[in-house]
Amino acid sequence: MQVQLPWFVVKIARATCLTLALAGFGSAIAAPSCPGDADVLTVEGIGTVYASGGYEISDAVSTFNEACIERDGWLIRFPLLTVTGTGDAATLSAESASLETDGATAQVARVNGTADRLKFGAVTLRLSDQYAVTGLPRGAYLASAASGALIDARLRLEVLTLDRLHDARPLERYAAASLELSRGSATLTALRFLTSSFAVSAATGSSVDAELRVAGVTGIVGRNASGSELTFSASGALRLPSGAFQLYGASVALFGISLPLGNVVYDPTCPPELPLVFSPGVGLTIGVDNLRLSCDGDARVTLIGHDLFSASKGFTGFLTARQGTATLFIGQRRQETAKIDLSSLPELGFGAQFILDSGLNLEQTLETERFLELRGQVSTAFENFGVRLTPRLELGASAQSRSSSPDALLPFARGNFGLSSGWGLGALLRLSTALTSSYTVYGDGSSAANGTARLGLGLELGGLSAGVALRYQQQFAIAPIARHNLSDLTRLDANLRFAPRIDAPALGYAGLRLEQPVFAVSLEYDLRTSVFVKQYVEISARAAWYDGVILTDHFGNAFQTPAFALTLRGNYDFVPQTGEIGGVFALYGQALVYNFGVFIALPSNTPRFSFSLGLR
Amino acid sequence: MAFMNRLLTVLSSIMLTSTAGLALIQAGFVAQPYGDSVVNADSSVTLPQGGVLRDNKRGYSIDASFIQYLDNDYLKATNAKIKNNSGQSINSKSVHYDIKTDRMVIAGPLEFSDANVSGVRASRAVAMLQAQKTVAFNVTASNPVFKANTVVFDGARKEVFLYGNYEFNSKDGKQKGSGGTATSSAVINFAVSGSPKILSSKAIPAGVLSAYLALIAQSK
Repeated sequence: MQVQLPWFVVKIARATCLTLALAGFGSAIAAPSCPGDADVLTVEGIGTVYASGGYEISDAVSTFNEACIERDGWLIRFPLLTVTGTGDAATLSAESASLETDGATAQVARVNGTADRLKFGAVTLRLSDQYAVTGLPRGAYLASAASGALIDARLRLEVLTLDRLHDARPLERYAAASLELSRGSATLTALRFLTSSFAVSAATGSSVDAELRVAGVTGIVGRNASGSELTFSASGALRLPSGAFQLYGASVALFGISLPLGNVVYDPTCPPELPLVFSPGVGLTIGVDNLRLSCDGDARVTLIGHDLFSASKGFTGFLTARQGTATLFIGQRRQETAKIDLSSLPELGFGAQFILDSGLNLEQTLETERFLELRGQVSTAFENFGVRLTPRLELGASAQSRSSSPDALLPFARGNFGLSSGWGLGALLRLSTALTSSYTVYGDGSSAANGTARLGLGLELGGLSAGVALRYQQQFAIAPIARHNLSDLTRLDANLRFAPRIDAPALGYAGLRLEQPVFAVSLEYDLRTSVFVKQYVEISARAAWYDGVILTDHFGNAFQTPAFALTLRGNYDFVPQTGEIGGVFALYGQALVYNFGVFIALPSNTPRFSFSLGLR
Repeated sequence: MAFMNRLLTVLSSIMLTSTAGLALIQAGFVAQPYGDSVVNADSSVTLPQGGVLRDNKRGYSIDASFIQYLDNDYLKATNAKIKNNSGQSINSKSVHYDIKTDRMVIAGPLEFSDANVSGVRASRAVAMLQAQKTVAFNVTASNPVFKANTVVFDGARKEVFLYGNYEFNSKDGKQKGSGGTATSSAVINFAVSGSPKILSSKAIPAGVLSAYLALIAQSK
């Protein structure tokens, strides 16, 4: 299986120095020259300075406007250049400058130094795609460095990131300790291949004829550039002609458990995705999720591994492929459900679905159910005068069987029609209506119809949302069968939810904060029997402690998370008198978040424990 | 009345300068002829053997091998050495000074010097003696070293304006400036003691540059 990993970083070990030969970077290329009609001042110790905007000499200080210097094939332009002294004591300084040689340009800031030793505070270097870069794909590159220097015609960048560009957008990003351009070659040291959440190190590497091979790959996972997060390894990696990397024998180590990843192909052009998932359940489930299979098709696979504390261990796997608006979804989980969901044109809403479900039912009997269902749906939306109309038409054919049922296979066909609309009154109020109906024909010749009408009014005000709706549902059975009784109901639904938005603290904040408060009430009232069928209350909030530590991701973006947080949550439905109360304690490690949860189910007082991991 | 005044002036001149070596005074001029002095019919005075002529009113003197002048009107001299109160000194083949317009056309080759520059050679020049400005063409100088198509020596501002294909060296030779076009320009200012301040082309204040360019245009 070839799996494309999201972002990662290839770090060439300290002993490894990758030399990138830039063909044609040598003497055959004509160097650009300074404008010939400019004023010229030759200063001993500096050389010739061209000043299109004129210059001023006062005592030992010369100031040049729109200055230009030619230095060993480099053309250096300064908006404003100051030269102090002459001879050996001559120094020059400028707030900014641009460097140019054929096929390479650089923007630098805070320039100072002598004629043959210029230092820069920051450097942005752009290499055009006319160079064949050995070891890296042909293309344009953009390097950004914290500092740099031009020493004896060698441009050197320190602590840099290097982007390979396509249509001026970065395709992939590298980090390196230094880059040196000299005499047609670029030498990088401590090269790393950067992504937002992965860093991969290679013990050895070689670059022959545009083929980059590395071996002894180890890596880390996490946003935090400081490392020491989750580790993984691979026996080797090869850069494919497409620019993607293929990892051989990759595996992830989790608490001493090695999870093999197989052959992983990483295409750096794909957007970042986190490939690992830790799924809290009844027990502890660990696995791999969202491994990207291809970039263009956006296909990915989800594998959820063992449920460690469950008696019935199993895997859950899903394959999702998306091409444009079409989606293919195939999945299998413990209940052995396989599902294919092929949809296209979401606005029109065409979809086809095939479901095969078998396994233990909730009563844990040996009874199994199997469904085969094919469903197509067309829907669209219109919006005029603030009213949004969404008609929907769905036709489906299903077959259902139950092992304990004498009718081993009961096919049926179903048609649905729906129309919904919404009308906003300003930003606060929204009036909505919905009409849906369905008609089902079963294999035994019976049929049933179902119709629902709903009229609702919603209010949105800051973090407060409230709604009330009247719902009427009517079922008709032309030739009733046991599962579809003739019925109708009229319900009044009401809900209230208050979840005020609380902005994230300023970077560097240290202290305790109350966050994510939620208070929600949901009622459902049966107008015919005059009784409540639902009286649901939910309350939750999070107390988070921030230690003031600001973290930096691989792209240098600062972010901050709590050091630890305690979320208390409770819900209760007064009608069936069931609910749950408990909390989750989240401990934020260097890169991972450890969530420990304890909940008590009411009224049985049955405890439920949970543990999950996430990326910080 | 005017005729009488001029007659008296001519007569007094004849009486006072009939003998060589005596000072000849005509209004603002004080002339010391090396030989004869001749008063012409138009009241102008000719010193055929030359002499030294001082114009105290306008602040200059001319030492020449031939001089002819008419008070408040013109002055002509051959092999003349001209000095003014600002320290400018010009040696030339011949000069023709239109006193009314303060415009002295100096034929070359000529030599020029002042308090700040020396060893200046030019093909020709136009001097505004009262304005203390001299416009010289095809100029080379040895101290400091510079050259240009046109140079304005401004005694009032104590600066030199180089215009067109100019070059200059600093006194210590460690800075060499040049402008390679017909409109390249530079100003060397000696107003402050020590190293001169130098401005080139666009660094020259627009008002200063336009004034010099106008002066050059008038002098062509």
